[in-house]
Amino acid sequence: MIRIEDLSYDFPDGAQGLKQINLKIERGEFLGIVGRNGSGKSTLVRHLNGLLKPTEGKVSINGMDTADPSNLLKIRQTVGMVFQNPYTQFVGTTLEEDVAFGPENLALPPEEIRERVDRALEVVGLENFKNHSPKTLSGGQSQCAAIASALAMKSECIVFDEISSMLDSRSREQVREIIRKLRKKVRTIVYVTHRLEEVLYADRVIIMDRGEIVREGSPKTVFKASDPGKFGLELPPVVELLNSLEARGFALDWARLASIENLAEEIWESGWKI
Amino acid sequence: MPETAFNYVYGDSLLHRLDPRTKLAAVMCLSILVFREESFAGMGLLISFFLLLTGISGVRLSFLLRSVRPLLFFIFFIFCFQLFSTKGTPIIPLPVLTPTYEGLRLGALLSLRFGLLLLYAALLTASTLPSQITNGIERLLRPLPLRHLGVTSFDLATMMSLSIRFLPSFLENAATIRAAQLARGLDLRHDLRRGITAIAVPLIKRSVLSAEEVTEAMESRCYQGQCRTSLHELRMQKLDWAALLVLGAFSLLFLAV
Ligand SMILES: Nc1ncnc2c1ncn2[C@@H]1O[C@H](COP(=O)(O)OP(=O)(O)OP(=O)(O)O)[C@@H](O)[C@H]1O
Ligand SMILES: [Mg+2]
Repeated sequence: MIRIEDLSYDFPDGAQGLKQINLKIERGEFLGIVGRNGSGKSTLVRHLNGLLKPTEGKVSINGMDTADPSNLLKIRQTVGMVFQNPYTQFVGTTLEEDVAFGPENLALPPEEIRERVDRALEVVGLENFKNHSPKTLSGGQSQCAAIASALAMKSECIVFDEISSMLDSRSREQVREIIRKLRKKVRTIVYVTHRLEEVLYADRVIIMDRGEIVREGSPKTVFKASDPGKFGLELPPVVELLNSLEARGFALDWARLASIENLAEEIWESGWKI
Repeated sequence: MPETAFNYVYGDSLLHRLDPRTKLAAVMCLSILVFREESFAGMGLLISFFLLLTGISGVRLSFLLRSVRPLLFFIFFIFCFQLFSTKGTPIIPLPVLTPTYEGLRLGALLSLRFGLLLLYAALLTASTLPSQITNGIERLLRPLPLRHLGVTSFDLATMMSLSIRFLPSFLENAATIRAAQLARGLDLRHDLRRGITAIAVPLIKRSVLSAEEVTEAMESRCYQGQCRTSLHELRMQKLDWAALLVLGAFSLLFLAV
């Protein structure tokens, strides 16, 4: 559904942001994008809903070119986006108003807005906080609110740009749980992070470095064959464990084993013949 | 605490249920009456009317009075200024500043007027969600030909609600930066001008950066300043027309007497 061809992007100050990116994202796919700070992840995903326009090359969403301003509204209805900072993307004075902001912009009838808001809040488990102001919500809750706001747009694809990096570990787990849940619904998801363990169950992962895609493939091939260390990324302990298990001849299903519980179970059942 | 001033108080009173446009019209109308009133008797009547509305709203009077407290000094200043600057019969003959009976009367009247205006405004904000006030203003402005000025009533409403949303964060940022600069040895007492720059520059920088993020988030959610609807669409009820009728009758009577 998303097609990026020969995309290059230069910042207004001349700095080169992206170099020759080619990428196709299929409907229903869960794509992980990893890379160190400043590697160009945010710059890339800002092209997916027309916040940035290619300097060279072309980005099209369901066939709509993002460079054409008349497509923008439709494109932003198709690709939703959740950002890193929970506070600056909370634009309403209460939680339900914030979630309603998007549907209101689409000029939907109030009854439909109500329904979408309620549904979205239910998915993220904040239905009892409707009238809370941003002041009384925790960082994790605000970030869940941002996810609900994107859900209320009912877009085909949602891009998450480092949504857990400003959160403490407990809320991070909460947010990950929601993403795992969302994955089961048929939606295209682009998930940006610099924590590899968050994309172990992705369908496909790309590593970015200095504005380029340097690795691409299933989490298994990318995190084994290549050397994320070279690109400033840290292999999480789970991955090291998986890698060394495979090195000893175990056939493992990474998508399933990305969850620690599943992995423990598998090891347990294998009867410690390691 | 500025946090408690002009805040919304949850409730389900008659006043809470009125359309924000009704309440905005009422506050404007009552403000005019308050401004025109020259007699203490009339002021008394307007105060009684305020107390009546407060009673209906179920909001505690002390809460509303607290909203006025930050401006008490200002009101006191007006009072003193009138007291000493108005010519007339001296209360006590003092050499330079002479308090006069006329000044006392005028000062009291002006302070009452100012205080009462604030109290009516506080009653409005206590019984109406900020977003509802914004909605009401948007609907009242919608028929105006604002397009020629390059904005829409929706833009104005969004700006208002964003200010309401982000003002506290702005003040918080200012306080944080001030504390940080003080910790680094900034001396506000000796070099105020440098001190202000040291606070303003990072504050503006930070605010502009967040403003950009806010804009991106809004654009990503299809904001374009065009026609939009609202989760709480406004509808004038029978109750609203009744309230406006009562208000009209009260005003006419008040002006006639
Ligand atoms: N407006 C700008 N003008 C010039 N350079 C910029 C601008 N915005 C970002 N950059 C630079 O472009 C590079 C890529 O930035 P980008 O935000 O895309 O990285 P990122 O991978 O998202 O990093 P992070 O993990 O910190 O979010 C960085 O080196 C950054 O300094
Ligand atoms: Mg980024």
